[in-house]
Amino acid sequence: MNRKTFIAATAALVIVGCGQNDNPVTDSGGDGAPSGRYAVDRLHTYLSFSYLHQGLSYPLLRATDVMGELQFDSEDMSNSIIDVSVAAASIRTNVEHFDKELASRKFFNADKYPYMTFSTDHFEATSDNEGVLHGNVTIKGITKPLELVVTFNDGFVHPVLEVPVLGFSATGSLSRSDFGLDRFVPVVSDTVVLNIEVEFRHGSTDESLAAASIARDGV
Amino acid sequence: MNIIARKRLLTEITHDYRLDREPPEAQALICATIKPWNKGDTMLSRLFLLFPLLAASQTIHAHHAFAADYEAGKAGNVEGTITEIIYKNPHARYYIEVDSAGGGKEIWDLQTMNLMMLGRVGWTKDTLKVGDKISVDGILGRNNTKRMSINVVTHEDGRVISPQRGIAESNADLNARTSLEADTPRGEFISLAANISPGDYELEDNHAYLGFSYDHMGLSNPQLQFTEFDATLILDGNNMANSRVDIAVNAASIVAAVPEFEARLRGEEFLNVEQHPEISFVSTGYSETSDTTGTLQGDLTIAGITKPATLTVSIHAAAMNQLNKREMIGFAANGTISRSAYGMSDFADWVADDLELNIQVEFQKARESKTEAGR
Repeated sequence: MNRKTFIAATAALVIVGCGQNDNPVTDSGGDGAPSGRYAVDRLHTYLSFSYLHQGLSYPLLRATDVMGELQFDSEDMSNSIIDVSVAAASIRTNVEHFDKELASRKFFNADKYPYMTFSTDHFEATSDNEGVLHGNVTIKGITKPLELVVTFNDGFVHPVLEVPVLGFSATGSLSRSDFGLDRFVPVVSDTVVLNIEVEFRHGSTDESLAAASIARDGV
Repeated sequence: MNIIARKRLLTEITHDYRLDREPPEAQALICATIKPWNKGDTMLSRLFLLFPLLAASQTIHAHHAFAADYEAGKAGNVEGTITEIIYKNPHARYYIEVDSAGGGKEIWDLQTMNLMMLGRVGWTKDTLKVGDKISVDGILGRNNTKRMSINVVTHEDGRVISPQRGIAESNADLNARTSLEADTPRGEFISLAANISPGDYELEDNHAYLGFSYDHMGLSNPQLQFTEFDATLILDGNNMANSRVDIAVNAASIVAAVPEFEARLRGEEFLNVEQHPEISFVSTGYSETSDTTGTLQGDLTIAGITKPATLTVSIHAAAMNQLNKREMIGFAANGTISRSAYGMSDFADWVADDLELNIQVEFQKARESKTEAGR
């Protein structure tokens, strides 16, 4: 595939935001990405989690409906804030009846608690591109503190999209029993390990604003 | 995709390696020695007998278009001082300065697993530091590339550190634990006393995951999966080199973040699933690297192209499932493949050539009737 075809292909794949870019670039930062509001790029965002099943294997589950907003400070990452909402019914296990069971009252009760959320308390930078994100996670109406170890992979103006993009990897773990999700503990481990790969595009969208609102205010 | 046809194919492939041709006394010995491991027992002797089930291969392939940088099953050791650490996905890397044979210094590139896998066993970015002196056993890079896939790190302070089994105070301590002990207590299902016997095992397909990731523009490591696949495992305790794991994947079952991307991956420029509906892995041998780990060699076919492949295997547990009285074994398999080797080199400026495989599978003993039918 030549470059032209690639550009066309990429453009075709772009999920276009709703243009609420009230967030002018404040710092070009060379090739880096500027401070400002960013929306989760669904095209390049993966939230996986895993646990130990009967001592035998670590299933690789996916939350497929993830939206969020980042207020990024390129000068001082510790001023950055992220809010994320994940649709509780969007977990995919590759086993249809298990997907349904997870959404049911036996686990996430997605009808009553449609979103899992994460909101930032503070970000503790440990190096230029690493840190610990301290925040609160709410699952099934229960809120607990959660720490994520975050790596800022890179940020730049995307050469094709011509919009600033950011990429992060994050890991963390939680005890599912803290959130009333304690079925089959300890045969299925209480510890759930999170593995997050997320990219952002500059500018808020209706979706990212909604995610922030849900994460902060529950609505 | 015709699952029955695939199963038949796998059965035929593995037909010659059946275990039940061994004399009864040999089988009895194997069964008696193969037990789930529990602490405080004569671990080493039992593990030694269990893990060779997956075969100690004498075969080393002469060339490796695949598994890009590691000579299949060729173990080695390097000692040196850590000069740089890149603790990020898709896998952590440690650069060490080593005294070279010629008298000078040389830098080795040591790689291990992704951060999620490491985090499970308590290996963090602070576990090893720049300036630390370490001795590392691992799988050597091919063609003297000064690269190595880490099996065990022995630190100058005495710690012994494994990406599968965590951080131990000594070799004996490390060998006495399985990877799962670093994480979670085992529940009733895993509770002991059961044997796991040689023979045919089938995939427990409610607990089978085939994922892969790659570096996207230096920004992130997307985590894709194939959701439909089947596999067979033949354990041969008497002649380990004959044990097999064969996998058949429905190429169209690839899942990514959005459907548009999935459709593109199914298309001609990538998997071309119309023409090549199946991805397959046919194993050719297994070499142990520790009691609970090893390298599985085989031929991987993607989009009609077959190349040798190497997977690093980490066995989590083997036990009788007390609910349905079926013997089970669960393990992880990780590896690196080069997508360009399979004719998928588009977007090379944007997307890394290396794909990091993360396979999590459970197998259960095939029922007798099924075994008979497969003959």
